[in-house]
Amino acid sequence: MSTKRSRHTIAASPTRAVLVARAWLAALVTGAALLTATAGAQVSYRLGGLLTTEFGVAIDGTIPVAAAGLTLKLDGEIGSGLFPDAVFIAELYAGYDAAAAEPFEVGLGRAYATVYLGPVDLSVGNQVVAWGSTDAVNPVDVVNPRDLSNPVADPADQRRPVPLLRATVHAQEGVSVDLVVVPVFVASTLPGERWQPAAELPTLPPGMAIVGVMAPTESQPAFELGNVQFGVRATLDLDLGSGADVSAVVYRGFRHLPTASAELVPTETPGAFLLQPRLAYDRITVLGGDFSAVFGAYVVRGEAAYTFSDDPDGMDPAIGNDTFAAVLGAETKLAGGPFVTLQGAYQRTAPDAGGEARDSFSTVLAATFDPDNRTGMDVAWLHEWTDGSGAVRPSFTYTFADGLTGTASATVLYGKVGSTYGGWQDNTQFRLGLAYAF
Amino acid sequence: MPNAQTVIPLGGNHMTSHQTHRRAAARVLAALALALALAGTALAQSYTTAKEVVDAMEAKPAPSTTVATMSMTVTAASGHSLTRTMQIWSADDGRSQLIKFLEPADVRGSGFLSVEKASGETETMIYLPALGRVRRVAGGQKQDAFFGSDFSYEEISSLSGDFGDDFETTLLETLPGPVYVLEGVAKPGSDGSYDRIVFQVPEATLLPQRVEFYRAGQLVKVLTIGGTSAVGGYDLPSVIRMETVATGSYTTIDQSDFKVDEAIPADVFTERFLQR
Repeated sequence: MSTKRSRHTIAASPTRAVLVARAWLAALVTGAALLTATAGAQVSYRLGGLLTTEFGVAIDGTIPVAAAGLTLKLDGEIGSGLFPDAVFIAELYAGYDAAAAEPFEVGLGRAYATVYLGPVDLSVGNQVVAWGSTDAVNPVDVVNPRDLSNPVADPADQRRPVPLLRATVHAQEGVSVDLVVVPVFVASTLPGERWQPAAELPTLPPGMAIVGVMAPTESQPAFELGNVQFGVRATLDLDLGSGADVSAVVYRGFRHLPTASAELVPTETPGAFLLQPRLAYDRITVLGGDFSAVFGAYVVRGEAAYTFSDDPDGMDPAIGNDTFAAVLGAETKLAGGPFVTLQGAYQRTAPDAGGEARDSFSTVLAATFDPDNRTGMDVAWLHEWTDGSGAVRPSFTYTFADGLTGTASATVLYGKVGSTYGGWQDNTQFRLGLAYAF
Repeated sequence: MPNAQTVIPLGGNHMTSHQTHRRAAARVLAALALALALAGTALAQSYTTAKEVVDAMEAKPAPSTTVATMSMTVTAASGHSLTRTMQIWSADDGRSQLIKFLEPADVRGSGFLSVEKASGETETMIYLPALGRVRRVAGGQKQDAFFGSDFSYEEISSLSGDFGDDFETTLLETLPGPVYVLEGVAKPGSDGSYDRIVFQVPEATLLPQRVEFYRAGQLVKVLTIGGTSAVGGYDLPSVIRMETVATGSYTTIDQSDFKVDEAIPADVFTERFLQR
């Protein structure tokens, strides 16, 4: 993560454009389903949902989570036979989190419809597009913003659906092309206050002093044609061993995390300044690729991407620099034991003018073991080798009945103060959760 | 097409139902005649070697494709059970197979795809909605429990096939019926999970009604076919039970809503349909 990346507390609430787009899409999905139903087409649908509750306590005695949520889901298909003409899904979420800045939250989850037009799957709506092959670090998984309220949560749970148009073309000979257009920019939800380190003020020459910090200003890309984000992922299935595939990705859009800069604002007192933090989202172009291949009992996965910013020379402190990330890993099932995954990730951030590039190398070791059909045990260990910090997250799940699952998990953070994870040691926590899917 | 849920009892008992409207004396005579006929059948043994039995099993007509609804109940030794319902598409004698979960809600939408390629390698993928993408599964994972059940992925894949391909078989004995008891010893180079199986095959159905799976001399699992369905001229196993001996747990699969020999587009056995 770039040092320019912000950890200031800002409200990452959806913009008006996003809210309008989501409402429009929800109405579109629901309306299309109703119109089709009234038009006499064969429609089947299902109502379901998920009820969750969670409680957590941190090592310093605070309660980082005491929450309950309800997600209602409508999904179905239009048409009959093996290949329906279309499918749709709409989710509505309502939740309460006592530890959040705004305890009550109601929002739209996934809400989209997919129409099957011969070899083309056309999807419109609030959805998640998961590109890539690896797990913890995904350099090419750039389409959706993340909910980083809990930055060490399972990355798969952090993706936030956004309004987008998606067309997947299934060509012959194992070739498929995935095109995505994201008309409205949606930022990632930043980590909560507990996860933000104390702000470090810049050192000023003698006679100058910072007497206060102003509320940060945030400038998000406006809803206009020039800011439409788009990407393509082309995948080729290879007739190799027990299966392999390779993909190439091109994406033009914006970073979902802001780059923070600051400027000094003079006050009426000579030599006294206010610090004005500014948050901006960099326009980027991502070129990358990923693959997965099965060799005997092993699956090998990899991803790599170079992210070009609009400041390749590092001259503008308000714009983030180019980055490169690559991940390589393998997974296998140990005889009679757990399923084990090991992935290593290298990341390099281009230097500011006159500075030095920053490199980091981290590994993720994960093991999953299901001793019986009700019990699941997982442990994931993320270690940042550059600064010796990391996180260990064991979890235990138990299925009480069909659809009713309990979870107990812990997140242990370690490292020196100032390291990637060491500053979060007080957030070492234990959580209990219960979920009922219906 | 016969009712897909109809289970035809083995052994010819269904014939008595046709005689219920006859007079009592005639019914008794008919029953006696039937009993004699069945007794004659029981004494007759068509096959004398394992190869003849296996060849007869393989010669038995099988549907080119199968679509069915599968209800899988996993019961722990304590008696507590969990049930999962799924739709299964199968073609090419089970070499192409796709399974999608319907219930319960927390696994709904999950899928499993297995396709044996011309090279003999099997390409296996799973789809988990929470992950949002398809993942390849390694061969070594075929021995893993299939979604927490007593079946492994490999065993689920072979439900539509037979047990003779990877084993050298010998006829151990012939039980009344006749029911042939065969032993299969894994062929050299076989990549199966078991080194020995013992299976019972009634001549009337030529479907294994009980299969014992051994590894390193230890009985590991026992599979029992508890019922068959006659669909489109085929006898298909409709109630299948797999018990794990060491834990005492067992999984019962009830298959229903069979459709056979329907043209299944090749697109079904692809990543596209897996995540649809």
